Amino acid sequence: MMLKVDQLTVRFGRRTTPAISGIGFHIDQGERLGLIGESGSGKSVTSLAVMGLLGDTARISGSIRWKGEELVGRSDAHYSRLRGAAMGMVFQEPMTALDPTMRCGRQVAEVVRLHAGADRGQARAKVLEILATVGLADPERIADSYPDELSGGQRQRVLIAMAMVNSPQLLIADEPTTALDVTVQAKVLEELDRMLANTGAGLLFISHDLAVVARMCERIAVMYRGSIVETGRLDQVLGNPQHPYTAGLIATADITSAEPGSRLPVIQDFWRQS
Amino acid sequence: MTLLEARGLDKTYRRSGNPVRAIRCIDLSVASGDRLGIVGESGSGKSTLVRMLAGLLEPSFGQVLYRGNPINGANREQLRELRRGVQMVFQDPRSSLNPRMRIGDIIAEPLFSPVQPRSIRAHAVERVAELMDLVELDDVAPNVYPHELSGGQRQRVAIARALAPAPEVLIADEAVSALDVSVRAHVLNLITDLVATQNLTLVFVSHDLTVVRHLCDRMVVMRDGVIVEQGRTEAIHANPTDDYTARLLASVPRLPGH
Repeated sequence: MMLKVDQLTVRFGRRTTPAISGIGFHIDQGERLGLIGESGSGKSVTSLAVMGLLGDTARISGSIRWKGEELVGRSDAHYSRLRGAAMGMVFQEPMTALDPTMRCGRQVAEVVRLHAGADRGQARAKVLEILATVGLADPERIADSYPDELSGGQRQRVLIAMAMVNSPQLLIADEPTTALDVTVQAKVLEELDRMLANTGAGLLFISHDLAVVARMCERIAVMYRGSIVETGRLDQVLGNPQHPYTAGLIATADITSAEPGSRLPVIQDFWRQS
Repeated sequence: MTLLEARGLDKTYRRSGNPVRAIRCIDLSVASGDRLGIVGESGSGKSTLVRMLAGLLEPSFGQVLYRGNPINGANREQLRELRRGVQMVFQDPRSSLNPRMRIGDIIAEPLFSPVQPRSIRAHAVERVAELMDLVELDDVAPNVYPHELSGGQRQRVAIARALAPAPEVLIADEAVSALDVSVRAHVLNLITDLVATQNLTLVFVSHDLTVVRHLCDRMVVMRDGVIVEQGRTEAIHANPTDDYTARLLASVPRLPGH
């Protein structure tokens, strides 16, 4: 097992209610797991916990194992060897995830040099290659641009390039296309799909959009208020949801099945939170 | 009757010194009771177009007419009518709502505008309660701040504020794009209800064709500042004549088996 999370609970500060409680899931080599839920359900906390990026105010209990090795409680120095090398991460907002004062090429090169120990020339070649691989037509120009000179889709591709440049075994993507137009989203998902297939990397894909998760993943876990309420193969969960909340998510995911102008189904038709 | 009309509308911005022609000679009319969708990608000019329709942005060339009167060069009385009669809801309620104002004050603000008769101000508290009821925020106290609300609730506040001066036209610019898919359904149901009960004329801007299909009976597709296709929503969905429209339709992610 590549990544195995067990009984993971995270609390922040003095708050008594945990942000996530008793989470468990696993991802094998090359497997793709979609984590779906609404804002505030704890999806991002889960991904940050796996990456060891939660910060000092978080109290973590439970277990996160990477190839059998326990990560909970390990030092940041230990984590930083994993991040960007064995695990890559793509965040939702490329404008805040990229440094606005640094040219994009240099930001990607930094990741290469930090982990692969390449010299300047080698790093540059690798940067241009990866920028082309993520579907950027003019890698030279993109590398020499600052983030604000690029479109949203281009910035998100630069982030994917940064996450994939060291050929990680696991990519964690947190709402990577939520801020994008539908046409750009379709292209970015297609490129992500192709890259993962080529490198054989596993994927933890986080989104509130069931249709997008379904496009990318073979298994899904449904999160609700800090817990996973249902896990299973995509076709099983979509065809025969076990939890009423999941049934609600499925009903709201596709508005094309409703008659135009008619009342759309909402989660509360299926599941009322206590 | 035609409420809003664009004639030969053109807008050129300057971006780092270079002129960018965002809107190219657009003609468009919105009649009372229309539910018009404006579809296109980022940068297609759809927001620029509706901002000019709402009188928030001046065209470089061409004219916007409200109830037959050109709004550039309109007298004060006519401008008042426009400011009251055409209201907007924006994409991100976190940036369109003042974080330092209580939501009751945000919703009431248009009532205290000089374009409103004094009699309305005297009944502002009742009107705010009525509006919050209308957007199904009746379980929220008017003295909370926007950050205390969820994304869907914040967008309801923005809609209540837009409805405060009892407008004829509601322009929604990507009003559900920043919301969770599951929250989106609630807000779309609300907009559908409000259009019917408040007799609103709706202009709905979105990059998502499925949302426009659900809400609008007529749509225009924009690309690079021009309208590339327009007609009845159902007809365009069934048979898009423009390649770009077809691509927009194909890009919408769907659940397998749906």
